[in-house]
Amino acid sequence: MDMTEVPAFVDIFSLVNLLLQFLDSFAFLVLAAVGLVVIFGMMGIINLAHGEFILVGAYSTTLAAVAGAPFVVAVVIGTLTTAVFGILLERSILKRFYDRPLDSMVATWAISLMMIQGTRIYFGNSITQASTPFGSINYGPYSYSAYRVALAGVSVAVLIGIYLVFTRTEFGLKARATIQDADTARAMGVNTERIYILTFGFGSALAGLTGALYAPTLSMSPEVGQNFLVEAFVAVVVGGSSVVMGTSLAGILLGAINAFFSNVYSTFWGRIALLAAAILAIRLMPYGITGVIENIRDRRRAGMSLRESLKIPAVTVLLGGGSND
Amino acid sequence: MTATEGDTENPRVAASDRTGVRSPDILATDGLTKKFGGITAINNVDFSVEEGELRCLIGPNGAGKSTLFKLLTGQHTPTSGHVYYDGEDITDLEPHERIDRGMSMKFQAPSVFESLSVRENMRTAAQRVIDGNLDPYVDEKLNEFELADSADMTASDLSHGQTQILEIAMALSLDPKMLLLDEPVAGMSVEESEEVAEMLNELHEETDKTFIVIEHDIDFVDMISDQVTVLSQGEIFRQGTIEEIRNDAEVREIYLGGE
Repeated sequence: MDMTEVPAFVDIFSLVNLLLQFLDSFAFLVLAAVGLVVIFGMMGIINLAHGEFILVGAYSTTLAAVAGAPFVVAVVIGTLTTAVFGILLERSILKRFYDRPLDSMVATWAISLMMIQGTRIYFGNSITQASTPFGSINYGPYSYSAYRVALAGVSVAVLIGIYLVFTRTEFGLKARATIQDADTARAMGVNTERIYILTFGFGSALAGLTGALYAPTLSMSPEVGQNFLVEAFVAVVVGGSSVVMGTSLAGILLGAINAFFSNVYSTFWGRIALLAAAILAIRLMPYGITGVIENIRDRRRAGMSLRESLKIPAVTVLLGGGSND
Repeated sequence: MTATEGDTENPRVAASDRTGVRSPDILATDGLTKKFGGITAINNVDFSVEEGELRCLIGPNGAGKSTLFKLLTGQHTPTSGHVYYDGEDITDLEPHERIDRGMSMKFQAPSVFESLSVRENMRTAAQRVIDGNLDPYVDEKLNEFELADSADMTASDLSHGQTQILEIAMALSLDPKMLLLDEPVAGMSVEESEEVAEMLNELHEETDKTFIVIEHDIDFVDMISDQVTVLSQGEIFRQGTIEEIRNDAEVREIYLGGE
């Protein structure tokens, strides 16, 4: 056996593996978080039933696909079903909980429990899974699901899509105006009630899309949504309230951490590293990446040089002075 | 007719006239009452304003001015009574529905969207008026109010005076038939107040818009208005010309007494 060449090959392959794992991890973090962060960042509701919105998307997509719908059509069905479901929930229950963050957490937690048990009662402990599109990428001793890697592209497209919706459309302008100052938005003739409904529907649709996209890759049990919760909340904590910037930077940072620890140690350690990152983030940057960037931006605006404006936030992050009680 | 000398004895006469089908009043209230728990903030107010009028509503602190303003804009729902606009009962309409009918409002607290650019702020108003491409209208309004140079600035970076101008520009870009202004010169310097007064006078003379200005500062009122309604303890206390109000001993006692 040629002992000098094998490690070199392994190195290249494991680098490829690391890269694919990063892309997979990035996609999972971003897609797990987007629905949650839209509803939290734009409406201030911490939706503990986020996992069950994903469940609705995953189940409706799976049922449609197994019944014979082409996968893309099934994904659209899953996304729209979840949007409608979210809007019904918002109208019937959640609209009573605006500006009551703690109450809304209890309410959404209750909804989550009811939905998991309801799904179990109605569908049983599992349903038939849809098959995964594409095959797998093979390289050396490894192989990786091509579909999961393709989702990295989808997650970037989703982020760009959200950015365009909120900056380039009339709905986006009205939504940002409403979130900033509802009274003034109404004085500008904006039907804020309608904006809340649409924003919630949009966030729900994103959660549904996530469920739909991951449906073929996960076993379809009533707890399927729980798979996403850790990543979703960690990404929101690290990213902060800015939907696109916070989520994408959190996805890159956490994706890298997760891929590295999963690759070098094991998936178990990858998960531990994510949670450790979340704890550190809460201590060092209580408003997430969004907060750090806004801080820098404010300093720039106040006339500081780029170097000067980066200095203090960096020190704050390193020493943990940014945390407040 | 409203707010003539004869009405000062019984201001409700004006409102009872309004029950007829045709009325020159663009805005009227009928028995308007707002209670917060046990406190009556607005008590059985009949108030009316004719189309094209510039009316000031004054009163000491706690007289209920802001509550009345919020009842007119739809931010508060009255405990009882009605609000009529252009002959229509709008008591139960949401603020945005009142905007649709041609009302516009500028709040006391600075209310621009601070994290949006000046241009985006103007777009929020323009979307109500224009279908399709907003840019030409927004550009026109930015130029009209001399905000074009700061169009891409974030609103929070504007000076206090510029912020007030942006607010007024937004309220006027809605192309309202009636504009409600709650203490438009609060926190402004004398020079800035005079500029706003000049602008309001010009608008009032050149257009057929109706203005209702809620104001604490009687010197500012003197610059813009002839007809004044005095509110005290949630009720209409007097209505008349600025001279009459200034010379009214009882008004001086409740309102100017301390000065």
